[in-house]
Amino acid sequence: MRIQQISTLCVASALLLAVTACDITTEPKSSASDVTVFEDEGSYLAFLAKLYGGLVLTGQQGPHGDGDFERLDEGFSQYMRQLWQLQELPTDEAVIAWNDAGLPELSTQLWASSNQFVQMMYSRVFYQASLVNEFLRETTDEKLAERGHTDLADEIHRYRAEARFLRALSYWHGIDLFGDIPLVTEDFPIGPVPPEQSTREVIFDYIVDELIAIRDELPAVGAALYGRADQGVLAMLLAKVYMNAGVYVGTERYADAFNEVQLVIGGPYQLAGTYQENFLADNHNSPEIIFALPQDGQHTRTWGGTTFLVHAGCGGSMDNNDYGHGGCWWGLRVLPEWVALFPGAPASPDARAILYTDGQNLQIGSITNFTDGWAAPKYTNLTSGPLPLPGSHAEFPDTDFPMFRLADAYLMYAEIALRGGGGSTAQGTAYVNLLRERAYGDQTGNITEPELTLAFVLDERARELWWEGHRRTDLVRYGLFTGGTYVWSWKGNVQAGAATEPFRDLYPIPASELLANPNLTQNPGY
Amino acid sequence: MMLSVRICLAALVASVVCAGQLAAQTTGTVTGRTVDANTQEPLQYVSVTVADLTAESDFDGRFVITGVPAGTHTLRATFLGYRPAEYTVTVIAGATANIVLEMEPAAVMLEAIVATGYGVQEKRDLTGVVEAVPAEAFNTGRIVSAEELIRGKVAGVQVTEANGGEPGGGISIRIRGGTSVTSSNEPLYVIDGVPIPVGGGLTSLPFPGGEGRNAMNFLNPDDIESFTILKDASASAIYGSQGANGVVLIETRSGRGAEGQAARLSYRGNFSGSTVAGRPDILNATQFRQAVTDQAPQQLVFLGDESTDWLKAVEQSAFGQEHTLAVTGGAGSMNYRLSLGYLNQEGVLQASKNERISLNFAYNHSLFNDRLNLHANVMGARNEDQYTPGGVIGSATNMAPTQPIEDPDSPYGGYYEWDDPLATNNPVGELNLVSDKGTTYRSLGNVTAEYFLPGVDGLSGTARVGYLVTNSERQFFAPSINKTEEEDGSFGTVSRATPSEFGWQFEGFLRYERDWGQHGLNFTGGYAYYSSRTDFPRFFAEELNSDLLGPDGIPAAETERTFLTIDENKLASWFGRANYAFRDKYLLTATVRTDGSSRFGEANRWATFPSAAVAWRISEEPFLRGGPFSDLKLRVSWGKNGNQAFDNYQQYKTYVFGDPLAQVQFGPLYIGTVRPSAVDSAIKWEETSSWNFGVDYGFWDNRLTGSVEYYTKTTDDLIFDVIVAGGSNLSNVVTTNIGSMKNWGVELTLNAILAQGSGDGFSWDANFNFAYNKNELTEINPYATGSEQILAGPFISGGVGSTVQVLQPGEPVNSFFVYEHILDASGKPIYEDVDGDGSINEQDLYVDRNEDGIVNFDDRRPFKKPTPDWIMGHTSLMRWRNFDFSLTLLAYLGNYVYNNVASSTGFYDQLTDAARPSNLHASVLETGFVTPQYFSDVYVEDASFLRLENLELGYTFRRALNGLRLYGVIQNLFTLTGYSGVDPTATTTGIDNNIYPRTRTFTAGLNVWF
Repeated sequence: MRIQQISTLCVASALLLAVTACDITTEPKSSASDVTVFEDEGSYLAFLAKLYGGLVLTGQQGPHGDGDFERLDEGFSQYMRQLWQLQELPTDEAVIAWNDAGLPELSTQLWASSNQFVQMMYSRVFYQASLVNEFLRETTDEKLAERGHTDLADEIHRYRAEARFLRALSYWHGIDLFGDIPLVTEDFPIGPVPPEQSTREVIFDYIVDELIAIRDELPAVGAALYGRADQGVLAMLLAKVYMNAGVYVGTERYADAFNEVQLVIGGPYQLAGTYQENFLADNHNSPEIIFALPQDGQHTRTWGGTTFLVHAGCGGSMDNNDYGHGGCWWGLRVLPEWVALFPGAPASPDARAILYTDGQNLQIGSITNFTDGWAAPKYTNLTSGPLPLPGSHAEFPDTDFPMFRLADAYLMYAEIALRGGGGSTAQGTAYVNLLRERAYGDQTGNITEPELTLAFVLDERARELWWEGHRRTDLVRYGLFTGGTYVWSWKGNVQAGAATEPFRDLYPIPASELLANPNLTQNPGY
Repeated sequence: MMLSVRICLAALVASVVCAGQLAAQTTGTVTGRTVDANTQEPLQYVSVTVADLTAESDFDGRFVITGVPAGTHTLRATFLGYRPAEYTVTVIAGATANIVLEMEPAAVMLEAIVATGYGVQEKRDLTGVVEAVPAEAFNTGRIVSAEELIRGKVAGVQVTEANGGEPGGGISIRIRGGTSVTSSNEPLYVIDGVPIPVGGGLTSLPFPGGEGRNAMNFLNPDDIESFTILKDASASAIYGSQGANGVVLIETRSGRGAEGQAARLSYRGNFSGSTVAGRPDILNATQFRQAVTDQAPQQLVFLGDESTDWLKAVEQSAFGQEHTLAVTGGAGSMNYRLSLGYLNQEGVLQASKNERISLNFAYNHSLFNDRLNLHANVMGARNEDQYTPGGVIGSATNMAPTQPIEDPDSPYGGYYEWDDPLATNNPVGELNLVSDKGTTYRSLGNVTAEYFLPGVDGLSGTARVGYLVTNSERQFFAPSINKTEEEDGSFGTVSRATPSEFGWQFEGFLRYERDWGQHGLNFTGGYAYYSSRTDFPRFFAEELNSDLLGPDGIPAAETERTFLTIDENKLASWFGRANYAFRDKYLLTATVRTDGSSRFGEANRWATFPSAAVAWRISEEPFLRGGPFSDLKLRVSWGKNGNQAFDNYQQYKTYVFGDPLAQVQFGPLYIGTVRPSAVDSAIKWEETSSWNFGVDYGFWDNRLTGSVEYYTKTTDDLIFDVIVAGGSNLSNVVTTNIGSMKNWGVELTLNAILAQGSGDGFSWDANFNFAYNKNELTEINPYATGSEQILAGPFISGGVGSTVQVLQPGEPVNSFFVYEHILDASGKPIYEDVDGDGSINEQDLYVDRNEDGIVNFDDRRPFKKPTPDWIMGHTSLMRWRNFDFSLTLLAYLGNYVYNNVASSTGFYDQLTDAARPSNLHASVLETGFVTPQYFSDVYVEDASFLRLENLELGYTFRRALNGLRLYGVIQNLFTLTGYSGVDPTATTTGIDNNIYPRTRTFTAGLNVWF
């Protein structure tokens, strides 16, 4: 070969390489794109499952991995765990021993606007809203038609209603905890433009309007598959929103709440045979639970929810095997002020006082010491019945978190009756006595109609619904959460309890959120 | 690159030789050999000049200069990495003078020609900041990873282990400080023209045992000929979107100059022993028992009667050996080098080890009267890594020293364990029960053809095809009887990951080089394309029915999960560079590169990065001649660079499927989920603009040389995971271009020949380098109205989800973010109930900085930072007769470390927090803390230090074989520091959290040339 030929060949092949090597486009291979994902009809249901899963799971791997959030501990970031902490730790129902950054200051009501748990909850609320918005954008009739999926339309209309229910649920948590927050709907595009701040009033109306609008698209009361929303779940949510309307918008809506409570009570729900059945590994069988966040040791693993409640409530001389799990985390105890609600505790005739006192001090000398404060193994990973069995996995319980249950509806009925929103105090007394009879095993704990007062109902709610994530909202509604009217151990950072500033009825808008969204104004006081 | 220069030089020599022959009557010939004064190893490429005639030595070190006018001349020899040598030679007309030139290695590098990326340049013509470190100047002793070779050698280049003294562990290089917060801060590595991803790719893939080892470990350090660091934008702009963190060019050894030579064999080998150089200061058994007695007497019942040193129980004296056998030779116009290397390095923690077998082959061939040069280089290695299981160091620090190691009744494989799940686990049990191993095959190579086009003088075209291929396997096994497995609910785990990677590159460029009288022009321009793909399949099998099969089989696992991730990445580039010189005094360089990357969003697909530089060699001006200056050059450069070392597919909204353990229950069914991801579809490179002002100087015939640099770097469009406004995207954060930072600094390099004995006399070369860098984050969010702070840094140990660093404008990146602890009169942090409320807490101990009456998280403030203000290095090289002696010192000033071992174990609640007491950090005896104070500034410690990195003594037998050198090295003989933890360099993060202990190493070795 001559030099000329070789050089021609070299130049030609080099040019060829250069020309073929110009493509700089790559597309994701191991995950779907927004174009391809709905080619599979199963993706609609999978996306809907993600919307429900947003309340339970923290990412795409169980119990953690490929998290929904970055820069936050994934196990901490679980929706229900944070809701629970913000609703229970600053109250008279719970303290936690751990020193995780920002956790002790939840117990003392001295949280900073940079508190990571406050930030996580805020992020969860808007994560749910964003996911729902995206779901709604991707499931319009036009989109379905484009993809040739019109045959699925009926089913997907119901999915959309469920999605809107979930968004309303999270917005309720949002206005309850944070007050004036943005209202982001499916009309708000994803992008760098931050949303405007809305008000509690506007969002309150939005929640009510949304729930009423979708009511008929959901299955009848109690008719949904376990873990999904129906008209009973919706009524329960509406009832709770109306119950607190005085706090949210300054106008009481007890009459509206009454109608919703009636819908629930008129449904197919019944009290479970025993109180604790609602908090055990087989609580999906409880006829009392209206809406649960299901967890399962083999399919739905998370470090939040009941995993947190079952393990963290165990410590000291408790034997984890007695509660169906592999190890105690030495975290949660109850406060002496809450214990005092049960006559004769720890040997109270009231079965709802599920206490463990061996080696535990009643008084809480130190929040960080697990043995200060009685332990309370309300949630366990054992099945109900005379021969309890451990759940399917020692670390990740099968126990579902009961978000709404019938007992709450009964207590709301009694409170509404007392507040003149409807119904009768006689019926209210009867409902309360249903709960007390179950708790006492007989009628010795029953009350008379005159004994049914607003203060009694609040106490009864603490006895019945403790550690179920309602306490802060209840105390705020009664005006007792902050201030000095009612103090408990470590409120205000002293063991005897001290008054706190009323602005702490609301959590701060997280400092990180103010940075990301300059449209927001911080809540007063922070 | 190198080839073309050599050909030019060869042509020059030939013409000189021809000219000489014409004048044969009055001239003589000078011949001789150039050898290393030390090793007697022949030196090739030595430039020998006598009476304005120049020749270059060949493979055997031989040179011939004919046509030298009769008379006495000064013969001058110069060579990269060696001190210039001068001999007086008398030439008799018609006769041949024979001379042996012994060249002495310099600690200091006065290299004549340096690599600049897609070419080479004479150092004197440089306008940018390019520093080369030749093999002669490398660190010696126990060297597993190539980066260790240049620690302390170049001003402003910080070489830090990612995990202390782990053999072959990841290493970070920072050139003039970091320019990024969330993207990589690592420079681009280019090995023989082929770029390789470091700090990304295979090493950072998630796996239960933690990250893998250094991606560069496939390189045998003995195969490296030189490192070249491109520091300023003028030098690195030719690498465009990959150049913002500087560029490290690595040239491997070849057989250049061995054409027509018989094969030559050389051997280098050494043996080393390493011990732990620093342990955390924890209580011994007696102190621990006393602490329990005083502070938690109720826990006394649990204590055993042993006196176990848990740290010692997991350590070992680590043995290491390394051997390289190389053959070099050639025939006709081809040459080759083939080397075989073996390394076996144990870690000072049991179970960690690194074993490498490496092969490196280089082949050069000149064809068609040297018009076509072919060059091929293939290197490959098999690395076998054994890892110390992740929790071992922490457990060894925390486990109560009163407890025994073994317990015949234990269900945990015979190792003593506390009977409580929260208690610390037995580190020896973990060590012996868990196995974590990996094997990596990696090969890198290229074929380069350079063709000098006929017809146009000085015009050549180069085409290069390179590849990088990796196949690796990581296997992990933990039996169900391991207590950790029981606690995390895994109950026995077998997992395996088999990542593989294939990347290929094509480059084609033209070069044109020409002088017209006083004008010199040199132009390079071309196209490059890079494409790579990574496949990452892995599986996890948990809850094993039996431990019997170990890592080799899966006996009915209750939980099995498999994953597959595939990543692709493409980069296409056009680049050009022009150097212009007028009278060799006024120098100008202009560079431009345009990159198109698959990582950039549609709207920002292509990016252009320009740079320009000018230099003035004042020492060439008549008015400076004859003064003390032998060299004086002023340089100014400006340029833009990019950083595209972020994840693939960031611009796409992806839908990620959930795994079987993250399903959602709908009635009787469990439904897998799918999740859309947050996205910034316009994501693009980070952009750094830099200025550099420099002076190169040489005094007294270059006995004192060096440079002074001042630089500023401004980085914009920094990529952060920023918190999104709630509701505006599909996560809590989105990765986007936001924010800016600034670096500025000064560098001073000083090379001195302190003693210059000729022959066997005493000589002493010294190098000093000083670098100051100041980093400041200038903006993190243009929309922000209030104070801007983003928590940063890794999660610390102690408290889940806690970080102690912050990003805040006006402060250095990753400043520590802590409370101001109130000190008592003696300067000790207070620990008492100041407000008398019955408890000691934040309200008592810390300053209420925002004066709102409450001490809470809003009272933390940025305080100090992990990066040093000053990095200083010193190398001395002394010779006397057949002895040589060298030392390398390294010092940092102004770097701070958060002592996480102290903060997470230095408080008495450690005795009661879990069911069983854990050991305490000895700081508790001073502070008296009962509850942890993770966010106290007490734990942010000044970690300035001075370390004797390297101390070497060698002896050369000049007449044995073709050279034989014996040497001994001590690495890290001492570290002087006020820091109380194990290692003041800690890691790049500034968090000292049970890092792998640093070692002190003693090495003995020999080099032989046959």
